[in-house]
Amino acid sequence: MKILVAEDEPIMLKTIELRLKKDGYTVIGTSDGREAMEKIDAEQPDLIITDIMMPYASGLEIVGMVKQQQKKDIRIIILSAMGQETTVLEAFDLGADDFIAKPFSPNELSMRVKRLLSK
Amino acid sequence: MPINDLLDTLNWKSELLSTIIWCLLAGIGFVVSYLLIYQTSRKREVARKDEINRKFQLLVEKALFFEPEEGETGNEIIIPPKFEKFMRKEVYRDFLLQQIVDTRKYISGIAADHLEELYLQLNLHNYSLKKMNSRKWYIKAQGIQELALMNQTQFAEAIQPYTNHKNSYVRLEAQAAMVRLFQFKGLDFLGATSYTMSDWEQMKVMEQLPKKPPQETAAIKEWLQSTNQSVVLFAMRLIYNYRLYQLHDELAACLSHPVQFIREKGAKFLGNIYNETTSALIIRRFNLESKRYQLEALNTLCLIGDEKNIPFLYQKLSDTDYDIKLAAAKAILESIEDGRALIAQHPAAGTYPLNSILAEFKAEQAA
Repeated sequence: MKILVAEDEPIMLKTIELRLKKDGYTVIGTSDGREAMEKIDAEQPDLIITDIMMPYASGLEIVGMVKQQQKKDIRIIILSAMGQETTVLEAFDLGADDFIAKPFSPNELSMRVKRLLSK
Repeated sequence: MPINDLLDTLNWKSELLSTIIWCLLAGIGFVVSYLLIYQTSRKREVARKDEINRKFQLLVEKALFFEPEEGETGNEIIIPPKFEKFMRKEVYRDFLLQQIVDTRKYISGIAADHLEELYLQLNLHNYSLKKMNSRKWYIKAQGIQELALMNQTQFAEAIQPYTNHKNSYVRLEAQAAMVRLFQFKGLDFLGATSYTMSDWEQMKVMEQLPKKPPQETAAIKEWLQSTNQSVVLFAMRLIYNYRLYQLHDELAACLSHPVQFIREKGAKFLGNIYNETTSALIIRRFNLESKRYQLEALNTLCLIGDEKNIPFLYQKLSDTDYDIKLAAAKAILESIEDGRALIAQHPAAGTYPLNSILAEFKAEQAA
């Protein structure tokens, strides 16, 4: 199973990649929104984990693009900082499947990914 | 003989020249050798630092994803013996501490607990404590931040005095630290702080508070009586943010506070915890107050949306100030179902700004 992680904070990106690799997934990491969109087209991941605020293209744009292109099989988890409630709601409106608040628990992330991919 | 003299001179000059050339060559050789040795030594140092960095990263990862062996219940992470050697050098200690602290900022749950355990096992808490006792304010502030991030509640007594430190950065770090460690109980420093808390500082402290409202509100009532106006404002913000309806009367009392901006904020914040008496309390002071108060009051009346306020609001449509007229019109539209018809009856309905607001309302309805 392929997972794309889009997160511009290097420590978070690394931690998420490590956790998911430990769980046996193939992980594609990127730290900007534009590159994330290109990699989604090229790699066709099964699940995307994306931060909301990122350079060049936001997490909301990524969600919008994926759902607009009717890539219904791609699940999306949003990473959000505290105080971004309205943006998270907007992401759900656009079609995101789940969200995780920062600071995040790697174990919780692992469970949510497992749950989404088993659906 | 002149030729012999000439030959002697030439010999002497050529010897001098060759000596100079040899010296230059020796000098160049020395510099080149020094540069080569320096470069090699730098490369080795960089490679060594990279190697140590990799080892540190592996240790942090080990802590993040630590699982005790079967049958074991402890949280102790096995640290390779060579790390003791690293910990003796300040530069490596700083580096590892930074990695642990930076990772901790983004992590919660069991992984965070393990990072805190690693921090303790490496005795880095003593190092942070030493930083906190530094004479340099920026190191002091950093030490306090590290202790708070790594959840070291046992050092709260040591941090507490810094909540009233003369340096604003140290003070803010200590205040945020106490709140991070103890949530609402950590706000006790508000009873003793003699410095003004800026809006920024209040925001940073507020960020550390949990989303769930406080159980006890007795302290908030005390802070509303503080002689430190910024503490009064902070207490008002707590009531507003957490919608503490039980403190409505205490917040309403702020409408009579001697300081103008407190009264203005009171008019605004009451909008979040209003009851049947709120609008009358706000309106009572309206004509005595600043324009800012009046606008805040009208915005609050917009939120309250009570028919009882209509006579007052209708009267404000005749105010000479455009902003007041506009705010009163908006409040009427929010307060009654047919607010538009009421505004349209006003003698000034055909003039700006009332005609503009009526047109906008009509367009919204059409959409």
